[in-house]
Amino acid sequence: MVLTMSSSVVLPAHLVREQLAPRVEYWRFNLWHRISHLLLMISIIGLVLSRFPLKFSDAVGARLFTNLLGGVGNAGLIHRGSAIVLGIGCLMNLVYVGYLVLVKRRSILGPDSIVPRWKDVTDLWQHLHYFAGRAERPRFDRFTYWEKFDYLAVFWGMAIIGGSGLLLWFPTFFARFLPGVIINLAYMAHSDEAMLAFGFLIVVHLFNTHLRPERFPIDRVMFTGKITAEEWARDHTLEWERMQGDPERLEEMRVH
Amino acid sequence: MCSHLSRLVLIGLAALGLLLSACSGAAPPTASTVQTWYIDPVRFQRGAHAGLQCADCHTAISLGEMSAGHPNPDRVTQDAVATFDYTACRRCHPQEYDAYMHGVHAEVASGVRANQTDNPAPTCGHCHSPHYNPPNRTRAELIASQVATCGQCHGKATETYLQNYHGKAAANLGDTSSAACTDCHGAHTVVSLKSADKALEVCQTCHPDASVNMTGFLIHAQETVPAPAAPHAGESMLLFVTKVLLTILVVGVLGFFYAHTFIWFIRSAHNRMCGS
Ligand code: HEC
Ligand code: HEC
Ligand code: HEC
Ligand code: HEC
Ligand code: HEC
Ligand code: HEC
Repeated sequence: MVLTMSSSVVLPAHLVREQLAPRVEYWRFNLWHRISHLLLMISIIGLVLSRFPLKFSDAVGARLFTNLLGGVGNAGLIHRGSAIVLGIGCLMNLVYVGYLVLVKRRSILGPDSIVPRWKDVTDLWQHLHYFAGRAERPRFDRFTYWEKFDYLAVFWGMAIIGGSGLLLWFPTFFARFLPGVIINLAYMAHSDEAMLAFGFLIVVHLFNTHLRPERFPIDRVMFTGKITAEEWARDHTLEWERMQGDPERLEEMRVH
Repeated sequence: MCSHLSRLVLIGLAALGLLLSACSGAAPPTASTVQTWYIDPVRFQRGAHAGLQCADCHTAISLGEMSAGHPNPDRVTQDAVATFDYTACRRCHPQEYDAYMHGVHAEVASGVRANQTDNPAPTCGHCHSPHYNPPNRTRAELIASQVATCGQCHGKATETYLQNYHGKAAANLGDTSSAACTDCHGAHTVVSLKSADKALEVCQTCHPDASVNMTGFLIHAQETVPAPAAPHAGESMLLFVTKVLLTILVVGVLGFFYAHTFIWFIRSAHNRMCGS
């Protein structure tokens, strides 16, 4: 009794509701997805912590923090190690896409795919109107437009930040066949795009997934892989409704 | 009532943002060489030249200027750094002295090379405090002092140096394996490094397998619209255009999504407070 009372004081209402109702949960992300997400998360934190003190090397504390990491050289090793982990995380995703297409013979252009479609544009438009109080909340499919952007931005970042990072890692090698000024461009792109990625993750991604009042304090789906029936129906309505037509597959996806 | 509240929150946050953006921007550093004729004996005795007699350097004293009374009082109005006879240093620091005499700075000082800037050509005294120069400085200390020493006259080169890896790591973070001004140019020889061959030699001291293309990496990269005849005008233009495009991309993407997030937050908060 005391326990439930105190927890209802501390926990937001929707979490208490979740605790009380018998939960029906479904798998949204499999182990492969979750591991690759975890790798991305850890490696990006490592990448940011190890090199932002260099980018903002004249800031207060940059030197202290660098020394805590064992100096600029050591921070560089952490940075490169993290970059490799990030690469593995991305590769895991590509392998999964290959598996879906080649083995499972699934189309990656369907409504439950992460590939953008015209509907994402109209969803965005409608969502903006919804913010202004002038429309209903859009009904999303398996992936919302911002989730697709989150996902694809990683590959965009990997191409630009990863590519330029290799140039900075092995400048003498690349300078054998490229003009030296390319390294200046690489440094610029690496630094600015990293700022973009960090600025995006720390505000937009964190807010969209965790800090929104209806999700606060944390959205566990990406870590546990499980989504409750209630959340599924609310956040990915179209997919949920489509699933109702396929009870066998729905049962398969249920968490036992 | 409720929509008032969210409007208030919105206006408040916008005002805070404006305030924060107005507060950024620091005062420029001022380099002043205040001349004082007082030589602090305590600091002098802590310096590298602690054991020396004044006359070891102020040779004019022993040469008899003093015997005719106090030195010419007009000297007070002269710039002592520029007028001092530095041949006195040569007696004990022949290596540094000779290196200096072969460098660009001495060429400019003696008029062999025209000075294209408003700065004076540096003498020993511009870069070293003869009275208080600290003894036995470590590499880290030497690196740290260079930004100020060379920066008095080469502000632009120092600024650009601090914008890429070598400067950030060496000068700001105290990494002694990275390159300081003098690692590339030499403290006294002052090589210009505009010739790729000379630059390559320098790069190879730390990047042994560097090829000549590597010297095309601009240590002092300008990211502004260059004057037509400026060195590396093409590269500067390329960097400038890239910088502008990247900035548009970063500001555009972040601006859009921050606004998106912000109004979403207002909407969610509004829904929460008003229970809709
Ligand atoms: C290592 C050589 C050296 C020694 C030793 C030395 N001086 Fe000097 N002194 C200089 C130089 C060089 C200048 C020219 C201005 C400058 O660089 O500060 C100078 C300038 C001066 C000036 C002109 C004002 C100024 O600060 O520029 C005074 C006064 C002076 N010295 C007094 C002394 C006295 C007193 C002693 C002994 C305690 C002494 N110096 C020892 C090298 C020396
Ligand atoms: C009478 C000899 C003598 C004269 C003249 C002399 N020095 Fe020195 N200087 C020394 C000695 C001795 C040291 C200390 C060397 C050491 O600690 O290794 C020293 C150290 C230095 C150092 C510091 C080295 C370090 O460890 O960072 C500088 C810079 C320097 N001198 C500059 C000058 C300049 C400039 C002049 C001319 C104005 C000058 N010296 C004239 C004897 C002299
Ligand atoms: C343009 C600035 C500049 C000028 C001019 C200059 N020096 Fe130096 N000097 C330096 C710097 C910087 C260092 C630190 C060594 C380094 O970083 O390689 C240095 C180091 C020294 C040292 C110590 C050497 C060491 O390795 O610790 C002596 C001695 C010295 N200078 C003497 C002189 C004398 C004598 C003159 C005049 C002939 C002179 N310097 C002119 C910048 C200058
Ligand atoms: C007191 C002013 C002053 C200081 C301090 C100074 N310099 Fe210079 N330097 C000059 C002047 C003046 C020139 C000649 C510039 C010209 O004519 O373009 C010059 C030229 C040079 C050049 C050759 C540039 C070219 O266009 O060929 C280099 C390299 C250089 N300095 C490096 C240094 C370094 C490294 C330091 C610090 C250790 C330093 N300077 C400190 C005034 C200074
Ligand atoms: C990693 C090596 C490196 C370092 C470190 C370095 N420079 Fe240079 N610097 C160069 C090269 C290479 C050039 C020739 C650039 C060109 O081709 O015009 C140059 C050119 C210059 C010039 C002449 C061109 C101009 O911009 O006027 C000056 C002055 C100069 N450097 C000053 C400095 C100063 C001051 C520092 C330290 C704050 C410094 N450099 C650090 C490599 C270096
Ligand atoms: C005193 C040693 C030293 C000298 C001289 C030197 N460098 Fe470096 N440089 C370093 C170190 C240390 C690194 C960091 C290497 C790493 O982390 O892999 C570095 C990194 C670089 C990088 C990669 C930059 C980045 O952002 O990671 C480039 C490009 C580079 N140097 C070019 C040059 C060129 C061109 C020259 C000659 C004009 C030169 N260096 C001279 C020590 C030096």
